[in-house]
Amino acid sequence: MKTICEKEKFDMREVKGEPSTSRIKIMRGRYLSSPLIIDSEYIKLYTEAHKKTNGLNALERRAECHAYAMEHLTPNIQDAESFVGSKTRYTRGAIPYCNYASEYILREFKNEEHAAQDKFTDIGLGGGIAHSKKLAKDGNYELFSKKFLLSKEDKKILHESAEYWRGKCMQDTSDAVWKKKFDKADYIENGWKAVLYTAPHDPAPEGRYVLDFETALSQGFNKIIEKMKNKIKKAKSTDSASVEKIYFWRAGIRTLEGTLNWVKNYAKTARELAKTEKNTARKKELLEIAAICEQVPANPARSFREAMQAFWFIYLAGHIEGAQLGYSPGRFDRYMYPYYKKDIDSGKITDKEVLELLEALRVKMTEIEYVASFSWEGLGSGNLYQNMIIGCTDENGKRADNELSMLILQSAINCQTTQPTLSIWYDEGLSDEFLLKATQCVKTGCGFPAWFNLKVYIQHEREKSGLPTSLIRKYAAMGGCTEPTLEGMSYGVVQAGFINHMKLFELAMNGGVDPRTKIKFDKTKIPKNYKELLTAYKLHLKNAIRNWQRYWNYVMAAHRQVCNLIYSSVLTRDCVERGLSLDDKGAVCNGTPTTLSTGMVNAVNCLASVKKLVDDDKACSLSELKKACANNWKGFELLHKKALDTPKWGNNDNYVDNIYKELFNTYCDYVVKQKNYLGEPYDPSMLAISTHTPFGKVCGASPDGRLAEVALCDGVTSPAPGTDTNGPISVLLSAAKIDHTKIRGGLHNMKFHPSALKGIEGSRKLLALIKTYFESPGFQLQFNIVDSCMLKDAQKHPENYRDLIVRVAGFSAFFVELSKSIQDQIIERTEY
Amino acid sequence: MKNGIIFNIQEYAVHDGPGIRTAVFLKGCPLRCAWCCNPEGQDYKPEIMFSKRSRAEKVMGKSYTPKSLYDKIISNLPYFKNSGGGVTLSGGEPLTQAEFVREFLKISKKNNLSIGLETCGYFEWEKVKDFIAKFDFYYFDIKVTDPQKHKRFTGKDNKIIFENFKKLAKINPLKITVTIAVIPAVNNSKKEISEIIKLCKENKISKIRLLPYHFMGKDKYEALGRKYPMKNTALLKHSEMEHLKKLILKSGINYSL
Repeated sequence: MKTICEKEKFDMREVKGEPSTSRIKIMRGRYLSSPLIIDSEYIKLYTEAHKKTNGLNALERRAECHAYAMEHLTPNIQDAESFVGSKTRYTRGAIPYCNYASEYILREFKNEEHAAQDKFTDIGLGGGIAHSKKLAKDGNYELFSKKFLLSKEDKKILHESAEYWRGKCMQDTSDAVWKKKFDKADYIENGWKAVLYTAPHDPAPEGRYVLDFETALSQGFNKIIEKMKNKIKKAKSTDSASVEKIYFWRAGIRTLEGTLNWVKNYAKTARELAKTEKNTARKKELLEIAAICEQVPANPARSFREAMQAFWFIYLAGHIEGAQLGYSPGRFDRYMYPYYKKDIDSGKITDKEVLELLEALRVKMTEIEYVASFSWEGLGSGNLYQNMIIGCTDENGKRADNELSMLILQSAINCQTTQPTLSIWYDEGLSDEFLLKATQCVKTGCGFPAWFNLKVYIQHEREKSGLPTSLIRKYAAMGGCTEPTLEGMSYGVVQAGFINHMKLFELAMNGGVDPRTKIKFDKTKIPKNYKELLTAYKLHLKNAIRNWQRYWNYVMAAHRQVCNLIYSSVLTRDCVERGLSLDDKGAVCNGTPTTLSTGMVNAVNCLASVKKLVDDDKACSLSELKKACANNWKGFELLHKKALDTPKWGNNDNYVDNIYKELFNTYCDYVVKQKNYLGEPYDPSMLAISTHTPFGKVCGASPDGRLAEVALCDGVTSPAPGTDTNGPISVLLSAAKIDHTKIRGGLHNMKFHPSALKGIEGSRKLLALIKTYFESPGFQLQFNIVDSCMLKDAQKHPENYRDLIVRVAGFSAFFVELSKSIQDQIIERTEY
Repeated sequence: MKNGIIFNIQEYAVHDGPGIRTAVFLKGCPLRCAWCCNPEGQDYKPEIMFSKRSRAEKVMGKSYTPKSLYDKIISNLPYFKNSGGGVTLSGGEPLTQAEFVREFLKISKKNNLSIGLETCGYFEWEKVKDFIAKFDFYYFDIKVTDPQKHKRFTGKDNKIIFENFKKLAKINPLKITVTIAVIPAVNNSKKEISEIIKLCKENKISKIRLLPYHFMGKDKYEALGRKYPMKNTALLKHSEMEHLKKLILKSGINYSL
């Protein structure tokens, strides 16, 4: 019997793209065929400098180590590149930041499990990961963190570095304090064991902020250095605070100078390569590259080409300084536009050339890799969450989409890579042409752009920071996957630790004892009805949040000591002005650190189920329900069916939607009660990245009918797979009931079959959907356009789908590099 | 007041009209087409479907008053308004529940909701003549022109269908899209399609759409304890559909999706 999915019908995606030039084909092809590799050069150099700078103040020491490393890195100029700069010596290389955390590296070398959470994590197997595995088997490489190649030489260096940083790295420095001092240290450790929290930060992912590219591009580093020098000259060092400022400026100068030396090395290398280059066209290119590197970012960019190279160096340098995850390019179509417009108007560049540069940027951003402890690999699916956001309005509220915005979209259609993920700041005034183009990009099925409601963010930011609407409009950007921030002036958000709502629910059901590990948390009364259950749940929620926030404040004190981001500080307003680093509250916005959680929809469905079965219908007692869950519903088949039929979130049913509202508001209220390490209230947010899988694995069957170990929900408002039985509109009607202005972030996944969006009518329908949802008002939407048959086939034959991109809760990923459990989850999500 | 028996309400329906549209599937149909992909819509009475895969039972056919259906759907109104969408009645054959449809149409029209109709054409004109013209658009199924063949494959003669078709077309031909479900070994020939095209031209129909045979509803037969009548029928080739599409375009009629 032939199946409906005949081979020729597989690719029903309406929009397909091809790299626009052979240069891009080469670059993309090279990426797709590269294995993942650990490069220990940076950390080797950093450590060398660290050994020599004992006694230097923390700020300058940090700057010296990083600058020294930068200026001694081996430049990596790859064939066919028209602008250069690489984080490592390899196409897909990753830097192991031992200065952040070294324990996980040492444990890996000892073949020990990284954390209790390793066994609940799985990672992708295909693509570059498979390539690494193969090479590891064949040659002189070992496999690190199950997917990176590690040469014998690098292993030796890495081992030595990790040993050196034992006790000195950020993690160990913070552990030495909070483990002894924090009265809830046991709670945190237990939380990791029970998987109430995501695994400890190995290394803590930096990021979720955007540098002040506008200033850096237009002024150039020399001017900024000069400014800091003047600041030092004028400073009156009469007290320790002002001396600290001098340290900061000195550190800033050293960092920028080190970065410029790094760039100079690229110029040198380009010239050397040009000398021996036989191809005359390439020789010319290399000399042009060298000339540009000698010009920017030391000096202001004078053309679009210079601006691209400058941007790349400025951006990459920040990426190297920290263990970045969610560090983003921001409003690229805004700050790059003046350079584009000038060159296009004068005929200096063509749209075709701009398009090629944008496609090249996509490949280069995708080349950046991240290595972490195994459980964090699973959580992030190896993704870098570099979010470029376009569209939006200007400070007066007039649409800000332009020709560059259109080219950015086209480059994403043409050159399908996972980075940067694209987002649209949605405003009703955006041009029809732009919106339709964005929809075309959605239809390639790569999972972006995601859509964000500007109006909702403006309201949130106004309340949070008190800044005026005009400023917010101008600088609104996306830090990481779905958390907005103001670019060029905000503190980032280190670490994305999540709280497991389903585990909280289990604690509430079981008097504060985790049924899986039997670990005891706070004791609560074993509930007999909905009201008691909700009370217990709220208590556990409150404590889990508060303990986590306080623990994290300890960690950030160590960050300030060991990993202060000097480079990023210098390029964030108003650090240079104030003489304060990011960790010393030099930025304009310091309320950006968020508290995150996953699985609220699951908890809500469970509470609704208990309310219905136990309180309303009296179909069973709560203890009976608990027993059924403990047995994974075996022997309780009738009750299971009833549980599956209870009202579920996502069906526009107030019975359960009101519970969500209550829980959501409670969550937000609890989060803002605690101040972050900069003295501002934490900001509530919710996400999943890939946490929903390991979080679900440690939870037994639940009253909503879910079976044991099944993954939790992947968004903030996306329903549990298969439970949204009323259709996509009802889902959005449910989602609109919460006050999205209360959180910094939001995520709502929708999956559509290509036929649902076919043609111009299909595009208009989708835009109408987005428009109406945002009017309701919702905050975020992202779409997966594939059909399940195709995905199932990709599971069976990953070799045929090497470049298939799909969306997973906050980012797009190459499907074949995702773990099977995430793949299954995407396949299972309801299609329309 | 007659209640409506409805077996499915599908939001963001794809083949049922313009804009964001909710398709309401009414239970009960006078025909028994061999290729029907909604067998649970044929019998008027609620019935049980048992899915082997999920091992779950589902009752197909829920009772609504016209008002309760309207109330359920109206929350979608902002989405309809922004997209030129609305509701389409389908099924089964919606006009077998004429009283319900009449009332529902009345309530919807009072509130400016766009309502479309999908019909197989087999209904009693007298019972619906007072409201049949009030829909915003129609998808009218035409399957086979030869009456014997029609009876063999659908269980009923097509005389009534063609009479209704002509009457409806006289009222407002521009609002009608003729749907041809293209079924292998039934009507997928140039001859058959040409006959239907001829009929359309005679009645001033300006839009035709082709729905290629599929068997995505196959499992539902088993779930209802029935046998799937079109067992082992192969799907149509893309080229074949293109060929038929060209026929329509050549005739001067618009090919509609």
